[in-house]
Amino acid sequence: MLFNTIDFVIFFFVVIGLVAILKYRRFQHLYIIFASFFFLYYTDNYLIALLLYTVLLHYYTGREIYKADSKARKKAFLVLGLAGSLGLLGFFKYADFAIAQFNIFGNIVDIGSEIPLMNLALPIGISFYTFQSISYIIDIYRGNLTPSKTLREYAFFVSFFPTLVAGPILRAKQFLPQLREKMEQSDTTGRLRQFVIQRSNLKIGLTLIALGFLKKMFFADNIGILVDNIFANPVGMESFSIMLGTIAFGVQIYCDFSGYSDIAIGAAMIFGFKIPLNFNKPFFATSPSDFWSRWHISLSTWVRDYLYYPLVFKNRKSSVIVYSSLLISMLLMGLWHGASWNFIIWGGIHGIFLATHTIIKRKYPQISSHPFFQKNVGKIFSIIATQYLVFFTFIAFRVQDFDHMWYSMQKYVLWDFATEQVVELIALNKFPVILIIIFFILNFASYKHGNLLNAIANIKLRYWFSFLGSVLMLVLIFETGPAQDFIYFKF
Amino acid sequence: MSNKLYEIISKVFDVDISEINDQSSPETVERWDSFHGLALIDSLEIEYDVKFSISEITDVKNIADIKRHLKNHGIEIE
Repeated sequence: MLFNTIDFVIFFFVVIGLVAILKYRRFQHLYIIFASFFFLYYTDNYLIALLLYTVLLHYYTGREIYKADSKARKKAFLVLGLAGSLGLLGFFKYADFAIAQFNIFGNIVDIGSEIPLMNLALPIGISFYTFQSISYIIDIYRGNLTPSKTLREYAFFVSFFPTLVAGPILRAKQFLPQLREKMEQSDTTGRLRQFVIQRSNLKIGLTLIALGFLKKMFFADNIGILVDNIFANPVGMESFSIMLGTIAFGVQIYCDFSGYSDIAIGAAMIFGFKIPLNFNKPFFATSPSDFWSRWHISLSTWVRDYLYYPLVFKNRKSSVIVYSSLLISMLLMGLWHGASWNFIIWGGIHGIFLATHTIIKRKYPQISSHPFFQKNVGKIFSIIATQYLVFFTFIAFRVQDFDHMWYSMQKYVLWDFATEQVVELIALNKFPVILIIIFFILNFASYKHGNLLNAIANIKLRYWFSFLGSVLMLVLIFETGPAQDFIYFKF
Repeated sequence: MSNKLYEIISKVFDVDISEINDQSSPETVERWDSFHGLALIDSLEIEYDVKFSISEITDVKNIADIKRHLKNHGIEIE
């Protein structure tokens, strides 16, 4: 079910309510596991079998890796776990893409017949829970994690409904200790701790959820209308119109995805789980690598730890290995987003930016220590330059048609300085444009303040209720029609 | 002994030594990215004559974790 639907709101409050009042605390975790599977079943029906398969595969391979008395045996079970889950992900997500490429190649060399596409439905959340499960068995293999002793503990971790369908991608090292602490029996009172809905967590969690809904339903969905207008057919548009569309899309995808993450993290917080941030003011990044420490952090750190470091670790003295590993990691990260060339191009461009930035840092380390970059004007310059590059990549993310993409990229880089069209666009789309301006003002205020979330959560109760009421009103008054999918649900 | 470690970190990440403590991490040190992370590993391996495994380098949240891994290699840093 989508977060931004009344179905989810009802589901969520029923789950919290029952957790709060359930008398037999030892069953609370089972109840949440059941709720999580129901949450997925509601959207995906029989495809919850894939989640069940992933849970069982990694639970048992994780245990075998841990118990194995030889490195060869450990490796064998690791390969089994990886092949089992990546094979599933590959089949459902990339089979039709592979077939389509084969057919294109076949047409070029004139093979004669085409392989029919399978038209497989993409199981919701498979990219996320697969990566989450893979990190579990790799961490066990590396000796950085002890496996779950019970299936129910592992099932809880993988299926946890707030993060199940679109992340953040949880790390077992960070999540399981919290879960174990809740599930351990208290030895002083004899009562099981399990899940206690604490008032402080409830308030800050609901604040974060409200902010998430505001970002998604007020900002992202309304700005998306302008994005759709511009990129429906960008060919023929002027540079500033393309740039307006690109900026609008950057804000849309940030509000959409970070809004989802806020809802997920806020919901987890209410159950007493601390989940790391998935976004940290990415539009204030001062370099390509700084951007990736602020954008989709759970994925970028996953790629760093499980793709980039293994590729580069043994041969890091070789520049060729370092830069090609970076590029390969970013290409694969692009491919993770979707079985489509535009995502691979998006990842590839980021890889080129990162590699170039790394080369410059290595060859000219004195540049970043230059006094200019220590001053505010230098930092502002770095931010603007970085964001210009980042928003350029958003064109590849948004525009699938190659001709449209190429045209848009050219217009973004080679300015024609015409203004008539963009002025008309702004006049016809005043509301989304005003929202974009308001967004940047609020984003800057949040960046300067440092902890706006806590500040809002700690205001007096009557003002806090006014805040919630205002968010609800904005969302309802400015809703754009039927609930819009979160962009990252498609991945 | 922390001084030597902090000096290396200060040099690799181009950050003032007074801004470094055991809780310093990629979240708090601006230049602590993948590239500089690898550069730090190289510097530490040379300075302390150790070889880190991939398990160790992917198990670093902050400088306290670096000290823990050095301790596993017999290098005690207070």
